[in-house]
Amino acid sequence: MTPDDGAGSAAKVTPLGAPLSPEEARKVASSLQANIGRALRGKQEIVELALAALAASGHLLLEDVPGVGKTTLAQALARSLDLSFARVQFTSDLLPGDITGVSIYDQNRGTFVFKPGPLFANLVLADEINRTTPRTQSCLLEAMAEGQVSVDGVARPLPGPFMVLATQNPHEHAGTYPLPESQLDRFLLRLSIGYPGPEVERDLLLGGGTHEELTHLRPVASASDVRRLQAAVAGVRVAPEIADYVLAIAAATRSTPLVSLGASPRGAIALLNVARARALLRGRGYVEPDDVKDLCVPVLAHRITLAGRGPGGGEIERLAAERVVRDLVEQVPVPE
Amino acid sequence: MNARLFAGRGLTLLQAQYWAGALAAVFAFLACAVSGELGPGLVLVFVAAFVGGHLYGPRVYGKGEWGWTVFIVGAFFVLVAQVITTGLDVVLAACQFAVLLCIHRLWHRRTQRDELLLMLMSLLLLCAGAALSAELTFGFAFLAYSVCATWAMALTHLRFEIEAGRGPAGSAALLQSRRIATPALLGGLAALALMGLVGGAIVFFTFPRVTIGGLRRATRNQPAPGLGDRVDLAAHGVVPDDPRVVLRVRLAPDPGRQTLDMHWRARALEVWTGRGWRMYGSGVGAPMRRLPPAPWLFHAYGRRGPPLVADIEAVAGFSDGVVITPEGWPLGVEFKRPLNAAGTQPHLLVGGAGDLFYQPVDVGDLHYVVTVNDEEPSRDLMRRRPTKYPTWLQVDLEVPGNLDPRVAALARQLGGGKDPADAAMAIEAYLSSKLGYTRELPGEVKDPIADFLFVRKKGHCELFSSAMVLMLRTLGIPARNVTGYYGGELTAGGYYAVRAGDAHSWVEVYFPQIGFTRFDPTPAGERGSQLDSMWARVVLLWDSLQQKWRAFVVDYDLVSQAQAVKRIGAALDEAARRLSGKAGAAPRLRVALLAVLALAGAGLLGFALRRVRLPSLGGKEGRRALGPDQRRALQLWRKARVRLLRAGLDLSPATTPREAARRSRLEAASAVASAYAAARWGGAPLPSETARALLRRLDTELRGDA
Repeated sequence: MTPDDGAGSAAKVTPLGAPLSPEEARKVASSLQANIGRALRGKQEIVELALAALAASGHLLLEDVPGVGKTTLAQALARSLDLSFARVQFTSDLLPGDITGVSIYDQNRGTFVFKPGPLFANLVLADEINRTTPRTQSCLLEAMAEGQVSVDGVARPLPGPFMVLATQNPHEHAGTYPLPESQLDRFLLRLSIGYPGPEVERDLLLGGGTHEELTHLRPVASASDVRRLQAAVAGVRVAPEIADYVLAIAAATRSTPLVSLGASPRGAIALLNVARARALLRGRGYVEPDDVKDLCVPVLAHRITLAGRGPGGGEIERLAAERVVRDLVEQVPVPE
Repeated sequence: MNARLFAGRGLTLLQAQYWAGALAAVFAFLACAVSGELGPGLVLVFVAAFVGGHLYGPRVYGKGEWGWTVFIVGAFFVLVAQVITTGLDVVLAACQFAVLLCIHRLWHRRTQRDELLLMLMSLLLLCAGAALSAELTFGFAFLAYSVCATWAMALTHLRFEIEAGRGPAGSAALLQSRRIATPALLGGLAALALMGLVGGAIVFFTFPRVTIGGLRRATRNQPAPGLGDRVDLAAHGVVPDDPRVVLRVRLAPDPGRQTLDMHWRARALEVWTGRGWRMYGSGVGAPMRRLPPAPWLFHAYGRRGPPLVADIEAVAGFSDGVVITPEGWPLGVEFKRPLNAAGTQPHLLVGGAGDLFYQPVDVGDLHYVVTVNDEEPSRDLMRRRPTKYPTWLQVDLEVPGNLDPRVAALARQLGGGKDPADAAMAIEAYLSSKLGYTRELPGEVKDPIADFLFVRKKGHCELFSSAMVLMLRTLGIPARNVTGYYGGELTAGGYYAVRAGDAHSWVEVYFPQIGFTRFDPTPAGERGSQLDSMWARVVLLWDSLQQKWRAFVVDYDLVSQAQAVKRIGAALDEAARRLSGKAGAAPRLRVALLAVLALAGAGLLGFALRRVRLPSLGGKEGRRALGPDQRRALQLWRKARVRLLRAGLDLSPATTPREAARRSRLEAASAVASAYAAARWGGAPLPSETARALLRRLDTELRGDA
């Protein structure tokens, strides 16, 4: 699985489309992290997780207050990877056609021509996803799950690496449509960027924000690198004990009385997938228990429903769910 | 969640561990205390310290340690001083010190070291107990100790392994779990302990050895009221029935009866004090190798059979230096090897009244063989003896001046003018037929004899015999009061037991050329005790168990061993003979044996099948087929984990090596974690030198860190 072609100019030697070796993956990841880190400073873990989601071909749910760098993260990611980027501000009057695109009658040719919407970009920032109607939400989620959109009965595949970064503001309740559990389940990770550290914030204040940095970001990897990275994830080795560990954690979320709805099998699969992706980003061809354990909170916290609470609630619910997952994981013995 | 998972009834692991340790200490102490030599003070101190340690031990742990040190060191010096100055037995002093050490440990129970030390002290106490006594009660305490100590060891190990493995927070749920120290676990451990003991016993019985009786010290039982050198009849009351065994007798020829109607003579009391009797003279006479010669007419009784040989074990504390003999004229007394190694060989003495004594008195249980001629002179032989008595009989003729005149009148009425033998018989018959027997005489009377003969007309054996002696003396016939026991009951141990409640009193009348001859005015049915209660039976059973313990454990030596082997061999021979059908074949026996064999075979087969099937059931076990590098990695991490735990890191089973390394902030720990992960999960090679080097590095850093 790992062509032993050394370090050096590996990208050139490796034939196009072949999966990256772990070492190559680590190099790509570290250069991407360094690049993105210039725009989104002090958030290395978030950047790594975002990259892991990308590598695992998943989508991100960013739950945070406005102005902490959600857009910056998405844009920096897009620029560093030389990927197309689109941003959709979800509002209550947004229609599915507004994001998928519509067929317009071309008078010159006398046919309907499809005008692709913002979804036909590699990276889509779906801002405030909970403010739009369930109809539009489900349209987006179908695209996320299938990798294609159906317009006028024609299924149109979305471009190669496709990743949605959806955001929602946990402090807004009026006029929102909280995502149902089944749809939350489709997001590989839920992250919260959080406020920058005091040093970073001071620099931001004095240095004139992140816009300057963003515009100067140069791509450090190509779309094909991303595809090869994604292809390599499946090759990451998982020992049976690790798989048992993942299952034990999922089982723990299902058996505890604190949680009314535990992690689904999709959740367990997601957990193992992200663990693989992160292992790869760290230059390893194998998953170790730490990969699983560290990722439990972002992968599982939004997939469980706490006993006595509705889904997708506000900040308190998010923190409570994360806390429950963290405590549960601390009770599951790690395989030796 | 934990609360629900671990709910349930029963002991928590912590409680079970605590009580197992405490019980082991208590039983070790009991093993020490059953010897009765520790003294009531120390027993009380231990009980108080045990309860106090339970209530206050955790609170005062670690406080005022200098106080404990002063206490222990002070006790040590006091005991040493006692040994030097008051001649306190060194072994006893050591035992008392061990008790104090154990008390100290009972107040200090927190860490693993404390618990282990408590167990060590308990073991020390048990050894001390073995030195103090080897009685059956010690055996029971020993059994209980071994079971409790097994529990304590297993549970202590479990508890501290859990605490070390999961940290204080992680272990709390497990330590409070009631599903660990279940009856099944405790029962299994107890069975294991007992099985070990049974195995030990088999070795004990199989291999030649010297008796452990040699290590035993003399046991000094509390003296019981019995054969004192005086009797007071005025202080009336209820004569208690005491079921304690005084004599254990084996007779040859064996009378083959369930109960013996025999007098066990102790001593004669010849001087009437006005209220009772006392011994004449200063007591024990000069040492004597030979028994007093029998009166010449003795040979005329005409023996019809062999003399009676009585093998007697006199329990310490009752005999008061008197050699108790069966009825009849003693022909020989032979002291056996002392039952206690410390006891010296006693020697025989003859008192003024011809009573037999031994010295030193304090030899513990006494074992001797008495040969007696138990033929009684016939009544005809007693008649027409001369009535001129030697001067040394003067003491047996003395009539107190203040004796109620009605006594003499009654004596004259019964035997006046008759031959002394007939007079004695008449008085004996009168007393036993006209007066009633009772053990309950409340109140105090001034003249017990007159009260007995003319007022209450009821009394116990002392009153019967005293009245008869005094009446005979008013007639000028020498007579004396004799104390001893009457009876003897066959026990499960195959010997006759004479109990303290069998104490009895009768009369000896002197006939020239015949000597003192026994008369017993107490009604025959009322002599001795009427011990038939449940308690009396339990006491007898206990005594016989004690004798078996002594015979098969304490005094079990090469000879007994040979006999046991011979008996087993004979039993096997007999079984084989029966099975082969030569001796009236027992078909039922054969069927039973076949059934037992079949059951055992089926059990073995089932066990074997289970053993074979188990590996295939354990899917996880099959999966854990690790390569050598993976195994080395696992070993590396486990060793590193132990080191980190020892360094005080809080690790739980849910802690990954990398987390542990982060928490330790040691570079070496990170290196170990990386090497482990790469080899264990990534299949990278991990040479054992690398693993060792990593561990060494970790050790170095841990030392530097400390």
